[in-house]
Amino acid sequence: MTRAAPAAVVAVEDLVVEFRASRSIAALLRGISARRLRAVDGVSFTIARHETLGLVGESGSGKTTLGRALLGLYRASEGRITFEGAPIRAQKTRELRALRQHMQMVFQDPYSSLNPRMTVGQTLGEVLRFHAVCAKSEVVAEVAKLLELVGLSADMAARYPSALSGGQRQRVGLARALAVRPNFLVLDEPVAALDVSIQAQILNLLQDLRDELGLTILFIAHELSVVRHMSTRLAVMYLGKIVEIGAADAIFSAPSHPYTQGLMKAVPRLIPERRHREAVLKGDVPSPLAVPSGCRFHPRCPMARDLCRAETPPVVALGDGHEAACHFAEEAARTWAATSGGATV
Amino acid sequence: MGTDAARTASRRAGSGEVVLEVSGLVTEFRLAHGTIRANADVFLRVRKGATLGVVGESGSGKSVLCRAILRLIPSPPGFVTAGRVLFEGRDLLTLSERQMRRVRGTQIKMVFQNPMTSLNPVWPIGDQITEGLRVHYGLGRAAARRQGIELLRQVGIPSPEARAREYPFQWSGGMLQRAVVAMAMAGEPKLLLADELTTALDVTIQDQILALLLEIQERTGMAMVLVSHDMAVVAETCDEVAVMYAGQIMETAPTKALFNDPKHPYTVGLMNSIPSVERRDDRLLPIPGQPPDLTRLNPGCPFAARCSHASPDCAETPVALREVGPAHHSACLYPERIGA
Amino acid sequence: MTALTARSISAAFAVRGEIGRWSVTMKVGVSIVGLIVLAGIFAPVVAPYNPYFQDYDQVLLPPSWDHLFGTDMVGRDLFSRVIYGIRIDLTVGFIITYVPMIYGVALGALAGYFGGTFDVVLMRVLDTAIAFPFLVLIIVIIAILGPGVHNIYIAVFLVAWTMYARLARAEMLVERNKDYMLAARTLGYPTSRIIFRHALPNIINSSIVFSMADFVLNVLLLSGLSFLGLGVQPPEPEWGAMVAEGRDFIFDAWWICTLPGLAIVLTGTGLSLIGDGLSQRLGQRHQTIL
Repeated sequence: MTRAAPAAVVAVEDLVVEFRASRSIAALLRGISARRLRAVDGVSFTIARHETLGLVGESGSGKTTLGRALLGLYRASEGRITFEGAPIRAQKTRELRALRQHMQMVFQDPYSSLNPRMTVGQTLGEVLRFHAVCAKSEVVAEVAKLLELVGLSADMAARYPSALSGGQRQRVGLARALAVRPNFLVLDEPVAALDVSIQAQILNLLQDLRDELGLTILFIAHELSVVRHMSTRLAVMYLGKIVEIGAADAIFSAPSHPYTQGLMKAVPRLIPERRHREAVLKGDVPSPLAVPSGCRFHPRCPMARDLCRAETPPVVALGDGHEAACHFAEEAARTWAATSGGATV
Repeated sequence: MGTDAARTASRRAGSGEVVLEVSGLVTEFRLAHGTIRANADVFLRVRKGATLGVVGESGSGKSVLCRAILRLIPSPPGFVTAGRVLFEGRDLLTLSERQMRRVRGTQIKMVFQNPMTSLNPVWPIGDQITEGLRVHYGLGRAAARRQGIELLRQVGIPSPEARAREYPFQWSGGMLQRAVVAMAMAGEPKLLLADELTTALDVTIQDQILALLLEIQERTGMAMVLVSHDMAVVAETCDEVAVMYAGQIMETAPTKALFNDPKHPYTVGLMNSIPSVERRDDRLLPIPGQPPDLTRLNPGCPFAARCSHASPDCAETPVALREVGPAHHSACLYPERIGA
Repeated sequence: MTALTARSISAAFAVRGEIGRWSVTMKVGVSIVGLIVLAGIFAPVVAPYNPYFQDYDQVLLPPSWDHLFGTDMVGRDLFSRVIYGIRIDLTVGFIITYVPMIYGVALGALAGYFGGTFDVVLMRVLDTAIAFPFLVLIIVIIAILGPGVHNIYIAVFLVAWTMYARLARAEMLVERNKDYMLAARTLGYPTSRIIFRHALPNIINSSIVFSMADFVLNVLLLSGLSFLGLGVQPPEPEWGAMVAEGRDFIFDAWWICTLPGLAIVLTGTGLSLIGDGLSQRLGQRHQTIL
């Protein structure tokens, strides 16, 4: 470690991830190329060391795809991803394997993320042995240590996932990710499938581990409140693009993209006085196979004008790294401040 | 307008004709490894034009409750062993299956969480919406079709004439949930049971569906029971709230009273578990421990083991709802300990 | 792979002190098949006579205490022949069931996991194989190659794997998208390890259940082919061949056909019961396979 570590742990530049729809045998023989779906469509951002970047978006926004692409699970069709200054190339199996010791992932569904035929001990032990994290003789002790780290007792090692509750499984999933002692974690909706009382336990655990182990985290979620709780910075995705990014506090106090504003107003709160009124954003998220022209949010945007239908909006810098991809970002921010966004809050 | 809405809300919460009253309801599941009391002595009341929110975590018995009201519990293993379900003065538990089918088809409708499986994938959506009208009201094909299109229009489906001919896979989740609501609205039911209706939806779509439900309610005066795990959804949509835990109602009150002045430690625990969008809390206050094993409940309060206010007698003394304020009931033995 | 299969089977049977929790079906099936297998292994002890010894003084004797199943037209003790027949029928049945299962499951798993051109080609091969009636296809292949056990092996090995490939592929398509498979990739495990160590134990249940039914059918297939003179050749004591030999005497000496036939029925019943018990245990939807 003579080389000075770069400030950004992860840097993404103009990333595009495409999927090809499957073809019939006839199409295959005739050489017809498959339809392409751009799940992530030109995304750039960095994640600084010890930072938690929250990534919010609705289904179809491409947030999960983006998270998986960072780990090299999907290939970048265009653009590049660098981790600690070195490019990630999904096609280089050997390089990726070495990288796995530095970056890991926790999944959403606690019921499918553990192999039902392996005990907790086998699952964790396999990681330790495969990556030679510790001596073979110490595997059992290390498994116990990992379980303790995530707040489980050592005797859980003998259990199969079917004997665990959702919260316990999620802790095991976390222990599996931490087994290789990574410094970067992608958490893909880690609490979305849990009951609220258990969700709070896991969120607190994640905070503790982040501080204790000095982790850098990409936290993917659809729930703004959870993201706000966990993140120092925030990125909002819509249909494959980041529409707004910046410090979490800045975005929550002055959201400058109409979509972010809509999301924030739509989130239900624990305030009975804020009795439900008219829906904030109309319409559905369009299919990624038929992306609208110009700004892809324009069909749902309350402030859309002709310019929005014609031209892709530029990224507008709003200071301190706060950026919004909207033709009228400043106006949107002013409107929000004037109504203090608020009035509804 | 805000105060107006608030006034209507409080009026609805306090008075109005009672549409549904459930009392002393016990639902048991007799399984190989023991008997589970999914509902234990449940009491609730829903008034015309008002919404009752039922909140609870998984295993709290809130979904079973909905199904028990409509007598849709698979039996065996499930049995409703005690209680009354009074709907417009009739006890649904005493009706014949034939009469019950009539009630389900015309007066009480239920909608479920997953829009993808609530609709049959092989029939056009329009046909599915009008099926109830044809079966229960004997409408002809053309008349049913006209009404189906009108219903779709009312739930905000654009160009319903064309879209009624489409199949579920051609619609998005949000649109399907609108179709499900349209299907439930056919025949103008008096009561709608919505079981986690918006859980599978994105926030902006959830927002749309909740607004739609309230608008329909405003128009038709239908009563609603909104079952949800999401305290915030309930806070914003309901007039009254019942909080369930381990098959029992822990607390029930008009919405404002419940959220502003909770009288049960479980309600407080749930509210503290939820991170806020307004500010950044340093630390959440989760409820410690795991939900209880329903086959091995202690005789007292089921929440005692996880409760920070509990004393040893809590686990031993059977609890029941007691009045702690105007229309405000709590099953806690020591509600005065909260906030102390 | 075989170690894994063994592990899955032992997990399915849950050998560790769980016999008490077996269903009645399972217990009866295991008892029947267990007794038959033991009798086959200890055939020299169980069988009172040499199965090949022809005693022309004892021709076509009906069942008695000396000859439990009677004797055939050349004076061989039928009971001894049926006992020795276990060795042939169960061994051949086992081989023609489980050898194709091994590579069938492997091919199906690979096709399901990787998809793409390999999958497309494999599926078309499967469709082609399934388009022909199984038995007709086997008989045609044997007719070309000539009769005998070795050619049965070749014929069945060519055809029987297709069903396993289909089952394994279908299960893999479901399993492939589960998060634990993605987690295994995230952890940098090699693809072979992901497919065979992580996915295989989760996709093999339906194949194991199916194999029980298949085993029954394969014992019947061997007997059938031998009955037609295409399988095991005389004087080997094979049940189907014995039924065929007794055909001419069915009115004078019913036992020559009937008792080896009953052995086939009993074995088939035992295996089916195990199959049923397994499918209940594994909570699968394959009860209707037989």
